[in-house]
Amino acid sequence: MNNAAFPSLLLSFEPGRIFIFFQLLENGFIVKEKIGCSVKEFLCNRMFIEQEYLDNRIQTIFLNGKPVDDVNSAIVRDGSSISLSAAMPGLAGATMRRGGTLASMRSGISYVPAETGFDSFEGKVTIKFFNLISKELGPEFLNRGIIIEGKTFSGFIVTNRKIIEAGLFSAETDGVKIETEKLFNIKWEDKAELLLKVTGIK
Amino acid sequence: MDKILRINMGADGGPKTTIGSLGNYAGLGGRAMTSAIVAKEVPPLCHPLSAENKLVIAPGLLSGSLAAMSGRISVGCKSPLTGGIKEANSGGQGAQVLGRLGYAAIVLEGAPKSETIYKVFINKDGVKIAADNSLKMLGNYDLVEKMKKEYGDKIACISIGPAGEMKMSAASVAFTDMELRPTRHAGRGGVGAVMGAKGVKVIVLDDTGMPNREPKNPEKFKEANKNFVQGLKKHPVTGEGLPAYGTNVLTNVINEAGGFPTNNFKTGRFAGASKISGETQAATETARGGVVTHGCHKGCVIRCSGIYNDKDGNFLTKQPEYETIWAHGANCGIDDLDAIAMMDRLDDDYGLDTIEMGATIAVAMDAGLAKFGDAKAAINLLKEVGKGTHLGRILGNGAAVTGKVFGIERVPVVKGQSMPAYDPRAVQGMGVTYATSTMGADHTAGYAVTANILGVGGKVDALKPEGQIDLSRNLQIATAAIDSTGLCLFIAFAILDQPDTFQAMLDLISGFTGANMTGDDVVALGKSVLKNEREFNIQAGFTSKHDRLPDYFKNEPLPPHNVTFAVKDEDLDKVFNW
Repeated sequence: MNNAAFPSLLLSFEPGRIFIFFQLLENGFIVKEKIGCSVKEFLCNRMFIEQEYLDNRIQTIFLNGKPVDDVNSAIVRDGSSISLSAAMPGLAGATMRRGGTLASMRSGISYVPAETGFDSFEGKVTIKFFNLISKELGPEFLNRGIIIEGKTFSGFIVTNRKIIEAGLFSAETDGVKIETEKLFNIKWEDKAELLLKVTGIK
Repeated sequence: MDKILRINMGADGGPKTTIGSLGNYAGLGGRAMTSAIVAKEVPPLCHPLSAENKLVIAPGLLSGSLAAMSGRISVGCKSPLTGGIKEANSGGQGAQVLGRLGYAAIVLEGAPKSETIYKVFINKDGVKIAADNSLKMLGNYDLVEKMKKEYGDKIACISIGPAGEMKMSAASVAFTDMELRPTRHAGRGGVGAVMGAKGVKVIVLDDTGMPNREPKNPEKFKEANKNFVQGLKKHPVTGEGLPAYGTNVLTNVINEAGGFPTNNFKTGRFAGASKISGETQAATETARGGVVTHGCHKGCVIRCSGIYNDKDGNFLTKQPEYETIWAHGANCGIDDLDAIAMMDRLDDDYGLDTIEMGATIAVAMDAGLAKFGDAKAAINLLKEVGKGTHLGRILGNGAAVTGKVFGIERVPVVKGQSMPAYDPRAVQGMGVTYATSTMGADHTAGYAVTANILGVGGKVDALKPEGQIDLSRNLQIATAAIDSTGLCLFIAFAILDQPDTFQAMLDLISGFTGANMTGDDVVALGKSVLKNEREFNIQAGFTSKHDRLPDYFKNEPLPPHNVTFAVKDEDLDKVFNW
């Protein structure tokens, strides 16, 4: 990933409160990567998620809001949205599982592989982590850095100011240290996108 | 549990109790018990609020024992909301305490001859009934506080709020939780109105001095219970997802699938979903010093509930369920968790079904009584219900009545009962169950294990469209059976995926009852329950024409996937062919 083009924000944060940033992963973050590959290829080789984790832990995958049954035949394209969830409760939760015995109950919305060809070039993909996936992969992805829309971040820090102030050790924008107060005064909504890194420090 | 307590509220000289043996109802529990008594003893054509109707409260087969997850209790009657048979079930302490007291069922019969309301006290020494008009129109919270002062804090309460006293069709029966708060409800179908019609405000249970129910085969029971608990704990849904986020963990997923009914079922995706999701709810509870992982009764190992504090860190309500978050949230366009939690609290206090009330307020919003997204207006509409104003009386009788009164076509009900939180156009198999369930639109009617475990009617090919009919049938059978055991339906996920946990459940029941229960026996039990319920409904005037979704689900595409409900009527009619 080439992230140099974005304004960056690095937050050093108390690990026990990092969960507050998981809602950004829930809302979706942006990845600019080579697309035109299968969901499996994208997640394991572009996002570096271990295949065992994908096979065993990520029980529900949506591609553009459609439940995916086969990660090998579902193709990631420019503008795609991929959402990842652990196994879910409820009849509806069970129907969403990939390749599950209840899959026919949502056949009207299931992902159907397209027969047309696809190109392989760099594209923009939105990734969403839900529930346990967010909890388990979240700290690593936040540490690597995620690209999010400025207006999303702006709303997030206003709503969660109290807990961010309580957990924040230090903040840097584009490599320059800033005071906590300034973090909340910057007009993040004016920035189309930013690279956010959150590092847990004890 | 070898006796049935009957209270004739219409007897000469005041309520009269009779304690009798189980007779033909021996071996039944929970939904099997309530539906058997209603089907046999209630005239199907009677008025649900008349003396002829009966309210049956029955703990599950295993309740009162040390079996894990065995704290569900069923409430049955002829429903004032649907006009058919009803079983609504609940968690809380009621099942365990009633089981230890030895009662397989409490049956409220007849109708009082005056407006007097009664409290019933049951302990090891017997049953006492007393008139107490000081309880009139108390909310469930104040009522329980008053009972605590009178009977101490070792009790469990079964009660109705003002909605039940006003005989509203959305009224629930409340059960207290481990903290003695009235937060657990047999919500669906207006069972609270029937309790109100019997003139009973509260049943107070005290099991002091009563031991746990003993299994017939203690060794087998103990071993099975251990394996059952291990199975639940190792499964990612029952061991991790539900404890970490509660049922509201579904919000993000169902929203992403485009099946999260929004603004009275107009779209399947809500822009504010992440603000009300289980993940956000858990983070909010943690930040405010609430509790994220908490059981609703002793012996629960999944612990999918929690405690929701207000902004100042004070208890507001229990962790609202997914259905409540949806009903008062997305379905009304509301993305304010605190407002939704407040409505949950009000529902619990007035004694109302959160699903029915959320659906009703959304219909009222379509009628112009409030704007979608206006949380304050939604809370005010709910308060109208609690006060029993003319408008409140309309709303408290549910979405179907409200739709009729205000001339709204878009009313998401089947057999008069509001649909829960899954749009049947996106999850069509769920639509099959909504349409054909004996209970009216009900998500828990098809919640349990798959045909491929139980082997009902052969293996189901999940990839064929007709698989939806077969799955719905088998799920309804399995659910009816589990509802009869007193086990929480959430065990379904572990027994769905782990055959050894399914076997542990069978062994648990076998070890307790002394009978050797097999998968076939589970199926036979489920079928017998549904048979009773179907026959009652047919005699009450229901035909296959009532097993249908409202037309607009067939004609109006649901964004974002633009799908309609495509299951044919003739296929719906095959659900009960077995």
